[in-house]
Amino acid sequence: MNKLYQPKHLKIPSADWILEASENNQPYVFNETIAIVVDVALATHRPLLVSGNPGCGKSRLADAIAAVQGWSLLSMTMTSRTRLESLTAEVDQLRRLHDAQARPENSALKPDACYLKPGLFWWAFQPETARYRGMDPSEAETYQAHLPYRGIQGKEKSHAVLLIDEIDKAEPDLPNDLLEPLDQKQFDLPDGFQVHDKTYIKLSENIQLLTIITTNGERELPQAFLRRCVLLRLPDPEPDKLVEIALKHFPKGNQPRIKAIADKFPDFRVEAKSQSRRPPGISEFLDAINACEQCGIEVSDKDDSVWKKIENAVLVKGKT
Amino acid sequence: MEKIRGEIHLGDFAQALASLPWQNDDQAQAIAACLGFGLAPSLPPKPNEGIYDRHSYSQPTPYKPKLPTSPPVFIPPVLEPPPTLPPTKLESQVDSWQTLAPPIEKSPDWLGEKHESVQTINETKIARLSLFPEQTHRHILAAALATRRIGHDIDLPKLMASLCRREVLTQLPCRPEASLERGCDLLLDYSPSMVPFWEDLNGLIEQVGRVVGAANVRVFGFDTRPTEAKRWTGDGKLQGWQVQKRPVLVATDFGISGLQCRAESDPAWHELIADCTKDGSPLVILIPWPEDRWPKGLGGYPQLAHWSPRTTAAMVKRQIGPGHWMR
Repeated sequence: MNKLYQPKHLKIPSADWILEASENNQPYVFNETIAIVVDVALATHRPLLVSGNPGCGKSRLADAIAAVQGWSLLSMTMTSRTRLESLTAEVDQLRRLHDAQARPENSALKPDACYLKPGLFWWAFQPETARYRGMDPSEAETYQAHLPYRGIQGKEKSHAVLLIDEIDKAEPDLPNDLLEPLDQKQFDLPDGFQVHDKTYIKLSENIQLLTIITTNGERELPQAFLRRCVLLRLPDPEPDKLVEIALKHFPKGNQPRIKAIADKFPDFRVEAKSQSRRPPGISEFLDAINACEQCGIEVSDKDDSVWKKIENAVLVKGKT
Repeated sequence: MEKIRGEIHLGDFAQALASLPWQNDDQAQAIAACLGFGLAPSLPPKPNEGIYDRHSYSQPTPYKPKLPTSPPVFIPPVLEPPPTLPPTKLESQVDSWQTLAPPIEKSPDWLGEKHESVQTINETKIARLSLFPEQTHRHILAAALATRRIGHDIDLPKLMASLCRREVLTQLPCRPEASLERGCDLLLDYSPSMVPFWEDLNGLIEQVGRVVGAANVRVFGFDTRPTEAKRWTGDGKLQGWQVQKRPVLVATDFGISGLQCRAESDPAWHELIADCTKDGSPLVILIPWPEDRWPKGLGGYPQLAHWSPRTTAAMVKRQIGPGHWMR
């Protein structure tokens, strides 16, 4: 019998691969493949590109790894308007201009650094300088320029999981722009700005960082970008796996009912594919169970049953 | 200090194998696969749902110019009553014929002969170049389909002018930037003259989907007349194309079959241009034949581009500029 992989860097027990629910995190069911791939990303210090259908747990994987490792979590969802500067550092020019115009006569201008807005990479690479926008702490206090932490802090505050969510929603040039911060773990500050006499921000040597990038595969990513990432594809879970996941979220849930809902999933997927619709994901599956648990609804095949209404509202959205 | 690392290489694989506690071949294979050394692609291509099915479209109807619409009528027209049928039942004039063929007493010998099934010839698939090569299609299509929007870089001349006029700024004047956020409508000509390019048309669907995102592309097929372009929707209905405030990319040869273009182009092309102009949707037409065979008289609105491996993104940008302006 093959021995199970014993993760070296990922702190998850290989006996069951499960992150149990706690006050701060939801449960997550890992598996051996995920453990190996995350271990490889941590060992090689490469970003982890996670692909899979919507709702299969890509973004939740970042939460779960941060919880397992006790690291902080920094996350940002990409849109068509996300630029490299919003992920690294940008200058609030409008506020700078207003402050300059509105200041009383003979009063000094604020330091330029007061208008720096640290992006996600800055918070991940150097959280201490990001907190004070690259100024000395005392100077930042004087101008009330200090910032609260951008993400969710873990026990080991300096180490972080950086989630760049849905990169396929960004403009096609963005992945290429990210090559430098992902590859060299550094980025340039806007023109004219310096932090500790340096014009760039670089990952502190004592900080461990895992960058997780998710994609639904809606748009092709550049080859140069793909070749720099460790790749993980999350498959759609089978009914047994769905039941296992559901029982971790609803330990006191009605097991036969959960199984009945999970058993319907293969049909939902086939039907969705034939109608060119998006198949339901784990999140929708959990929503359906939650609704049934709270309202005491039983699974039924009758067209006029309450279950059918839940099925249409939560699972087979857009059915024709 | 860590050096520039570049793409994942064998060193990463060796490092992972050396430092991780893998215990069997399957685990080593999983390590190799996630670093890109596996055989299976990690991001499988999606099935192409937009490919043309000729049988699903009817023959092109004769051209009818659009007539000015009459004012709306609120009372439904009164239909004529059906003709009254005669009360008597008429006898049928059709006689039944006896069997013409003589009865078969003995089945012929040839009926029992065994024939070997026709051997199918395994045709060798000849490699062919795509009209927009893999290395360049991304940049060419991005240049052709980009629209302009207000960007983030400050427009200094406008800012200076506002400051000099002592205007109170509520937002910074910014320079426009190119974006693909509007997606595109892809109109593909599957007429007989385009038969040599059908494979390229199907390839174009994939290429455009990869650049602007498959969910942002609506693919329509047409036979000769672009205004009659149609597509099958997910629920199995045939949907006609209507302009929808997004770039329109047409691939066609205008029915010339590689010959010189006719003096008069089909009026449906002028209708398409008029529809796009009215809606403000940019119109880009890819033509697989050189410029001297392109139709004249289409006006300045459509951007015509040579669908050829020699076309570059710089050529398209020179023609279109840094993105189409949209109202």
